[in-house]
Amino acid sequence: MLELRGVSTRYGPVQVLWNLSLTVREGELVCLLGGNASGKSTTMKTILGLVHPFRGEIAFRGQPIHRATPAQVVRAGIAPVLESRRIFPELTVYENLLMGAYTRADAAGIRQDIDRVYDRFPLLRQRRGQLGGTLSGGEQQMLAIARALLARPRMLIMDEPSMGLSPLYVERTFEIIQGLNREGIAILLVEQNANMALAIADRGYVLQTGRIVLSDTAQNLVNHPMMRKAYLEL
Amino acid sequence: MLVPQLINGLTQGSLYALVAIGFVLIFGTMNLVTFAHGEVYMMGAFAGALAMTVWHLPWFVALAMGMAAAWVLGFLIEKIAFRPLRTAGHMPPLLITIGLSIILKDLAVILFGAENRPVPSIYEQTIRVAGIQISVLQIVILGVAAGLVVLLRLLIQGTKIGRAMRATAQDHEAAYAMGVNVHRVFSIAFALASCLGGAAGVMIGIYYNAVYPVMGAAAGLKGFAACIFGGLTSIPGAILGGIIIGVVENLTVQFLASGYRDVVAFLVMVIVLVLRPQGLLGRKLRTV
Amino acid sequence: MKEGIMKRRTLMRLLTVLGLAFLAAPSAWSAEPIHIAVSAPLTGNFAEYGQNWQKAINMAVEWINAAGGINGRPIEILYGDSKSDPKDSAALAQKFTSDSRIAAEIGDFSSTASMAAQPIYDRAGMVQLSPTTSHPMWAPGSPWSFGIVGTQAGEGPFMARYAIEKLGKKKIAVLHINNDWGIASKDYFIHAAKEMGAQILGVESYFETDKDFTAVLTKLRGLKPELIYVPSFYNEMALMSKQREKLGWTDAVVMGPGSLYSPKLLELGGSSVNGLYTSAVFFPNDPRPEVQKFVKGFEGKYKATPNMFAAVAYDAINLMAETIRKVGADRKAIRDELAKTKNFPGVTGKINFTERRDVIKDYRHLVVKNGQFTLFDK
Ligand SMILES: Nc1ncnc2c1ncn2[C@@H]1O[C@H](COP(=O)(O)OP(=O)(O)OP(=O)(O)O)[C@@H](O)[C@H]1O
Ligand SMILES: [Mg+2]
Repeated sequence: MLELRGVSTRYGPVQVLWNLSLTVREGELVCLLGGNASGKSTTMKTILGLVHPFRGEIAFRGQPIHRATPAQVVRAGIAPVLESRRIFPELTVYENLLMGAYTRADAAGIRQDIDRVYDRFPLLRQRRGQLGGTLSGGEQQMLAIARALLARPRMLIMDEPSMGLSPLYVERTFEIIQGLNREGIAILLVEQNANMALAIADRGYVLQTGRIVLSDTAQNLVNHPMMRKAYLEL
Repeated sequence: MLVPQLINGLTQGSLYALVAIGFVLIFGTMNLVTFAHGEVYMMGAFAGALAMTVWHLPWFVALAMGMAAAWVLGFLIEKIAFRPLRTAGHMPPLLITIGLSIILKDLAVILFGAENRPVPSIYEQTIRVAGIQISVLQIVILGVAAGLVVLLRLLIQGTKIGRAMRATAQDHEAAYAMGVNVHRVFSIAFALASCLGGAAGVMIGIYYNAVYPVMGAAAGLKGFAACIFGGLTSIPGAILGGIIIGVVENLTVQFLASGYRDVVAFLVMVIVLVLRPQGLLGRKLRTV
Repeated sequence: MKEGIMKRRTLMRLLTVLGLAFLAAPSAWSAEPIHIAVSAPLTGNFAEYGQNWQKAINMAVEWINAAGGINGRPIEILYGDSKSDPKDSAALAQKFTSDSRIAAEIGDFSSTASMAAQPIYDRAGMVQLSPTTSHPMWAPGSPWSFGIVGTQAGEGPFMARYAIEKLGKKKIAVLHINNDWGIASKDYFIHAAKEMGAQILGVESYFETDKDFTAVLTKLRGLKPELIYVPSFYNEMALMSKQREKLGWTDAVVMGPGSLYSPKLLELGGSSVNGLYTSAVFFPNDPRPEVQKFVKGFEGKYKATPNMFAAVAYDAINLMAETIRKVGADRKAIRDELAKTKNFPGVTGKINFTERRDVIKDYRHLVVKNGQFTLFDK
C-alpha cells in the first residue's frame, strides 16, 4: 500500500535519512521504532509531503507521492497524527475537526463523519465549542486522532501518540489505534515506546541515525537480542 | 468641545484601526512585518480619488475600486517580496518592502504628480444629536469602518478560508499537514490586509479632501503603532489601539497644541508598552 | 494612414517654424541686443511659477521689441533654471555677473534662493530685481536688491484694517502655517490688529504636511471668534474650508492674505470657500487699462488668465525696460535710476520704492462670491 524505496532526506546540508526502504501493506499495523533524533519524525514528514526526499521514491497505492504536496497526500488517503498532537489551540474542538476535513468538499459527508467521531469520542461532543488549547493532553490526543479520521483516511501515520500522556491515556490510545486498525485502516505508528508498540503491531522497523537497522515481525523483534538490550526495558 | 473632539478622534482612529488590522493579519499569519503597507494605503486612496474625480463614480464604487486596487497590489507584493524569501528569515523581506515603499511613492509621483490631488466632498451636512453637531461624513466613515470589521469577522470566523487563516496563524506546519495551501493563505491574508488599507486610504482621502503620494508614511506608522499597541496579533487590540491613538491625538490638539499631536500619541504608546510589553491584548489571531 | 497624416503635419509645422526663424532672425535687427538675465525655477517643485514668469516676460519682450525695442535695440532674455534652489541661484549669479553683456538680472523666486545669490550680485554690482521675494529683510540686505511684490510688513496691517475697519470683526482667532513666512505673516497681522483694538482669542498653527484640520478647527470653534485669520496657501485653505463646512461651522468668517488668491483655491475649495476674504496685488478684472491690456494679451497668447506670478514678472520686465530706456544698459546707472522710480504704472499697482528698495503695495480687497473672486465694495 505504502512503499518507500531508497529514500534520502536532508535539511539544507544536513542529511537525516539515508537510503530508507519501508513498506506498509493494506490493513497492516507497522511500527517504526528508534531513539531520539534517529529520524522518525523526518520519515513521517517525508511521507506526508512536508519535506521532499532528494533521492528515492515513495508510492501510495501505486501512485508516486514523493513530489506531492501535503494536500495531495491527504487526498490520496494518508492522514497525519502529528508529534505532540499539534491541536490548533485557539480553534474550537469542532473547528479542529473541520480542519481535518480541509481537503474534502462534501459537506454532508463531513457532517456525518463528525457525528461518527463524536460517537466514538463522546467527550469531544461535550467539548465541541471549547477551544482546543483548553483540553488536557489526553483529550487533545483524542482530538488529534479524531481530526485525522475526518480526512477519511485509508492509512494513518501517527508520530509518538503516547508521548507525554498519563498511563491511563497511553493505554486508551493504544486501544483506539488497535481498534482503528481492526476497522481496516492501515497504520504506520512511530514510537519510542517499543514495548507497547510491538504488542499491537504486525511488523516493525528500527531506525538508527537515519538508517533502517532491523526489520521483522513484531514477534521476532520482541525477542531480538539487540532489541532487548537497546530498546525494551525489561 | 470635548465631545466633538472625541468624535473627531474616533473617526480618525477607526481608519487607523483598519490599517492596523492589516498589520495584524500579515504579522499574525506570516510572522512578518511589511513596510510598504502605508504605500498600499496611498495607492488605494489614489485609485478611489481617480474613480471619483476622473470617472465621477459615487463614493462607494470608488471605495470598492480602491479596495480592489489595493488587493491586487498586496497580492503582487506578497508574490514579489515575500514568496521567494519565505525561508530567508525576517530581514530580507523587510528590506524589500522598504525598497518597494520607496518605489511605490516615486511611482505615484510620476503617475499622479507630487502635489495634492483634490477629492470631492460628500455628505457635507451635519446633524444635531443631543445638542451636539455631528458631521454626517464622520458617521459614514465610522459606519464603513465598522461594516468592514464586521465583514472581516464574518470572513475569519465563518468561512473555510477564514478558519484556514486562523489555523495557519496558530500553527502553519500543522495546517499545511492538514492540506491547507498555506501559500494561498499567506497570499489572501496579505491581499486582505492591503484591501483594508486601501479602504482606509479612500476614506481618509474623502475625509480630508486630498490624496498625495507621501500620505502613506504617517498612516503606516500610526497603523503599525496601533498594531503593536494592541498586541501585534490581536484584531480587537488593533482596533482599540487605532482608536486610542486617534482620540489621544485629537485631545492633544484641544488641550495642548496641534504640534504635539503625534508626540503625545506615541508617548502614550510607549507608556502602554512599558506597562504591558505584550500590548493591550497580546493574543493570537483568534476572533474579531 | 493616420500615422502618415500625423507625420505630414509635424513636418509642415517644422518647416513653418524653420521658415519663420529664417525670415525673422537676420533681417529684423541690426543693433546689438540688450541682455537681461532671468534666474527662475523652470523645473522642480516651483516650476509652475517659473513658467508663469517665462510666459509673461516673453510676451512683454515680444511687445517691446515689436515696438522698436529700447532705443532701437532689442531685448534678449537669458534664462537660467535655478529650481529655486539656493545652490543653483548662487551658481547662476556667478555666471550672469561674469557675463559682461548682461545689464541686469530679474529673480529669484523664493526668499531663500534670492538671498543666497544676493552677496554675489552685491559684490559684482548688478541689479537683482525679484518679482516675488517678500521677506522683509531681503531688499534692505544690499543696495543692488529690489523687490516689487511688497512685504508682509505691509500686508499684515492692510489685512488687519480690512478685518476690523471694513468688516467690523473684533474677536479674532488666528491659524497659521508653521514656517518662517507664516510666523512673520501672523505676527505683523496680530500686532496691527491689537493696535486697532481687536481681541485675539487664540493662535494655533499647523505644519506644511498636515491634512487633517478637524481637530484644530474644532478647538478654535470653541473660542467663538467672529473672524479667523489664516496665513496659509490655497491648498491647505481649500482643505480647511471643506473640513470646516463638514463640521458645520458657519458662524465665523475666514480671511487670509494674498497667498490665497489663486483660481486653484476656487477649484479645490468649491462652494466651501464662498465668503472668504482675501487680498491681491493683482486682480485680472481690475478695469485699469494697463491691467486689461496685459490680461487680454496673455489670454490671447496662452489661452489662460494670468495669475499674480505672471503679473509681477510682467511688471518686473517692463520696469526694467523702462529704466534702461532712460539711462542705457549700464549696470550702475540702472540701479540708481531704479531706486528713483516714481509711480510706475504696474499691473500690480503703482511702484514706488521705499528707501529699503521694497514696495508698499496698494492691495485690492477681495471676497469670494458664487465661486468667483470679486472686489469688495462696501
Ligand atoms: N527542520 C529541521 N532542520 C534541520 N534539522 C532538523 C530539522 N528537523 C529535524 N532535524 C534534525 O534531524 C534529525 C532527526 O530528527 P527527527 O525529528 O526526525 O528525529 P526523531 O527520531 O523524530 O526524534 P524524536 O524522538 O526526538 O522525535 C535530528 O538530528 C534533528 O536535529
Ligand atoms: Mg520525532
